[in-house]
Amino acid sequence: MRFEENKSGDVLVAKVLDGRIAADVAPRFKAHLAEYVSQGNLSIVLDLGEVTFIDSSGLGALVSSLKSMGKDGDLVIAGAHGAVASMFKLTRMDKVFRMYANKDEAIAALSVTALP
Amino acid sequence: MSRFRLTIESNLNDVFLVSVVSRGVCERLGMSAAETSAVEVCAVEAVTNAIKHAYLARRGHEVSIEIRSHAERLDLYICDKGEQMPAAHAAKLLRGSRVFEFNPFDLTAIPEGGMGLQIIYQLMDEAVYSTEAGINCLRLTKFLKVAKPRGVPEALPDAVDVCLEPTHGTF
Repeated sequence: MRFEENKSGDVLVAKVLDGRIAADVAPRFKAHLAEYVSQGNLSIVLDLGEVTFIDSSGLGALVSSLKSMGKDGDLVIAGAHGAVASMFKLTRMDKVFRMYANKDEAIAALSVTALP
Repeated sequence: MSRFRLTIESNLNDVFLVSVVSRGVCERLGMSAAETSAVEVCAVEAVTNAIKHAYLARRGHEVSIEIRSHAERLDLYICDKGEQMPAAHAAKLLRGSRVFEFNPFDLTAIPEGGMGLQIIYQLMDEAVYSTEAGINCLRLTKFLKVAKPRGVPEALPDAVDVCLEPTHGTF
């Protein structure tokens, strides 16, 4: 899978550059997110603005990553739209992940969270 | 009634073809964006289940997807010759499950798997699983609610069959 990464303070913004997150790439997707966590990133914005399709395997990989971060980590979603946003809502994952319209809103929210 | 059939190898890398075909058919029939996405994701979930569970993720087997368009509904038949789905799982297609009734504040309660059948149950109007002569078939039905826009064909070309040779690799 292809990602584009940028840091904004302590917040890692990872943009998924592929249009699909499905069963064929879910293990690599999960491994990639695990790598971010193992590198010490505990505030991650996952930008799904380019993603047009996600299935249950993709959502499962996201949940697995969230669990691996534990209570001290933040994994939030930015830019989910159309069928992707609908999948989060259908599966109630929109109650699990904080969802933001775009990465800037997500960064701002995580930066506020990180304040002492 | 018109029909379209696609056969793929039991390879997760090829499942995107199911997306392409199901989406294309729905769009050609003038279905809404939401209905098109619903059919696409359910077709993908069903084929992924067949590969992962009926064939235990082993390559070299066939999964067929036949789409039949009627005046009032769209039927998808996803068929394989692998292991039969356990009755308890097939029952979830008829009655649904509580997999999404989790507490979102309890990390341990949030599901990482077992969501595909419930997604199908919620998005499709009917889902019926059966096995006959060693062939497992899942019929997914979506009743057509939208009027077809002008210029959109009433139906698909008759009896189009596409059979893709196993690729044994990624595209």
